[in-house]
Amino acid sequence: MGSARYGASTAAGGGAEELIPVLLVEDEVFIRLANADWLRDAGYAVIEAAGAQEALDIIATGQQLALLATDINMPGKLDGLDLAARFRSDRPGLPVVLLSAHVPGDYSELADAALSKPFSASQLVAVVEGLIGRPWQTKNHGTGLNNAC
Amino acid sequence: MADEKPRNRIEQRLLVADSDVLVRHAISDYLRRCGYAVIEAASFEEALAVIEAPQLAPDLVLSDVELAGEGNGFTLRAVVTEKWPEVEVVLAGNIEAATKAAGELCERGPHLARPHDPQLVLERIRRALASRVR
Repeated sequence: MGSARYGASTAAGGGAEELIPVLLVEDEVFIRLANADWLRDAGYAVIEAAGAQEALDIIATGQQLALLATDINMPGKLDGLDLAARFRSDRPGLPVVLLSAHVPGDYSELADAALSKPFSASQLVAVVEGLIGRPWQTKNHGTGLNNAC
Repeated sequence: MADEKPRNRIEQRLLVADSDVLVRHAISDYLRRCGYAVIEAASFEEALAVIEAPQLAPDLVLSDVELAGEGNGFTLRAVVTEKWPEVEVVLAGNIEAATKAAGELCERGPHLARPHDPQLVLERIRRALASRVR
């Protein structure tokens, strides 16, 4: 298991690096920032979305993605479970991780894994690594919330 | 009186506020490749929350003029100027201005070279916006 499984479509990126792209959806800015920092520090390329509609906008561009990690309870017409279902339909075979204080008992049709909030950096990275593999490089992203959530 | 901003950071931290994820992501991704630590805000309220958090005080704010929420870029600039008088706020009214500002930030950023021409960022945003289905 590794980065080769997500393949490429009409990526909107412009850089030469081939980082593993993760779509992170979270409406609470500090949680999103902390989670994104953790994943970037682990070497993933994180695309941040503040809600399900933003995530769908990203998906509609054809952006290459390896994994969706989404909160469940978010404002707007669609919640994280709706988004997971749409992602499953649009990108079959790609893993989904639910991040929520209230993880449903049976999520197996919509997601490959779930983390109950609050969770740690190591828990999040371990789940993502288990599903899509480990990036070849890591870095210290350092926006300031690495140890805050 | 403004709070004292934390110092001694290796990376410069930017706050990018834009309510269009396709624009915000492209600009933020470019600026990260230029060596900045970028905090993304999707609304006026998110930007305000970041500004109010001392440990996240940005070195510079790049904001769209129009923001989702109860304020806009001008309101945000007023708040930032009050809270962090030394922090520069760059307002952009369209994607051309935003990418031009990002290119200029990259020129004076932590890295010595641009990762790519900011014109490619503009083209990327245009392609992404054209693909949007509502």
